[in-house]
Amino acid sequence: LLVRRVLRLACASFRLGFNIFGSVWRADVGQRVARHRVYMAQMREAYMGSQKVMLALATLGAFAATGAVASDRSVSSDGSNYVYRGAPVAMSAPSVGTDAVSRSTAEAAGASFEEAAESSPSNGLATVAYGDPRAGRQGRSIVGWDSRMRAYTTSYPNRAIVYISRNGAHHCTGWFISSNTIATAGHCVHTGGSSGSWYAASSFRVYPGYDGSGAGPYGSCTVRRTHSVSGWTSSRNADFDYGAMRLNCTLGNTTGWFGYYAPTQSTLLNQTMIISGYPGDKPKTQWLSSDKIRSVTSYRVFYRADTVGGHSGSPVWNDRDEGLRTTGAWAFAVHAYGANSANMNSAPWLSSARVTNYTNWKNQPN
Amino acid sequence: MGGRPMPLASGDQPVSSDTARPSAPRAADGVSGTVRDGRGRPVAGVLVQASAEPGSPPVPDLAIVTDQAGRFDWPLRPGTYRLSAGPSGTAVRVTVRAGNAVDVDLVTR
Repeated sequence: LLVRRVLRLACASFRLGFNIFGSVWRADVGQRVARHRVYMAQMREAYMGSQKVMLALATLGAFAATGAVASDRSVSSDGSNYVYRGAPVAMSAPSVGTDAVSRSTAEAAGASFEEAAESSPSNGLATVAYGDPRAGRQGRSIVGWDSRMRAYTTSYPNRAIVYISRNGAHHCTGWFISSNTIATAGHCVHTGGSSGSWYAASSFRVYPGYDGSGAGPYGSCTVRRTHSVSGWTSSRNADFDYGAMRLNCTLGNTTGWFGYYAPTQSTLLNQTMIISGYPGDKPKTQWLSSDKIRSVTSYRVFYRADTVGGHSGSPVWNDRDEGLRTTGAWAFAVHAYGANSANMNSAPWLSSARVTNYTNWKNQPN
Repeated sequence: MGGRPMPLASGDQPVSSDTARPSAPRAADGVSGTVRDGRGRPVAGVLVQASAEPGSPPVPDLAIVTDQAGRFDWPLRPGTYRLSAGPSGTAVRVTVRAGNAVDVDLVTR
């Protein structure tokens, strides 16, 4: 009996000790967990804060790197100054679109099927003499022989490139960056400089993938507003000659759109480039040429791919699907100028500040 | 020789903003003009192309096409350029000075 009582007392003591120890341990663990949660929350907050600081510094750095704080300031034809509140982005992904267009679906997307006015009836399909070394100095930016190839405009990405008419005549080229926004050159939307002016948005009509005649494979749409930057609209500086148009339709969902990204300046030299657009000497047809980047400045890239008046606003792009794991065409510059004294055509390239501007423009509400 | 300006008979005729006829008010400097055929008639729908002389600013790759009256407006920055109309037009040398618009006739064949 005594042994049994001793054992019972021992067991009770052990149970009591175990319970006391367990509750202390659980309380300690609970406190540790609570402290850990607080710590993690503090870390998360600190991390988010540091990210915001880093993004802000990166943005400032990008502006500082290009010296573009003032000149890349966004301006719009209707005076709006929308700023996207999301995080700054270094790129925007492309879309190949659906291509399943019928007249009714295109019209539902805001397109109409007006036939483009004849822009050069007396010109015909003029050609540049093969191997004519003077061609680049005769007003065409053909360097050496004419290497342009006619593009099939119902395949991506060519169908995402648009023929821009102004008052019914050929004016420029542009390219979809979203369902309803196209990128183009600054001088396609504003004459440049403080004494210049905006072309009336109502004077434009754009034809995606236009190819020679009729209303175009995807119809056409009108322009709601246009955008550029102060470096062009105030200073008429060729380095800042880029802009955009907001359309009154969403045909980009059908044609797809280009991705765009901000390369680093050091990686641009010798990079392969492709350009496709609407040259004025071959009315209403799209032509493609390619080369490599032969010279780079802080703001523009230079190449010998062939262009002619009307090519302004064409995308300068390459295929980045390997690096970005996304198929599609990725643009990194907006064609703007014909041959300089070194016989090279040129385009402002997309710095981080410019990528941010394009993203703001495409995200601006109607 | 007064009245309607005569079409340019040969290329490389210099025109400068100092001596050019004043044109209609413009938003910016540049070159305006009319494209005519060999008989002096205005020609609509002709592509007018410009190339920069050494030392001049680069030329925007705009499509500048004459209107129904054969008129065109080229918003070129101050500098010296060669302008021609159509695939076989004769080139004309034009100098644009800041704040002035040059008016010039071009001939296409």
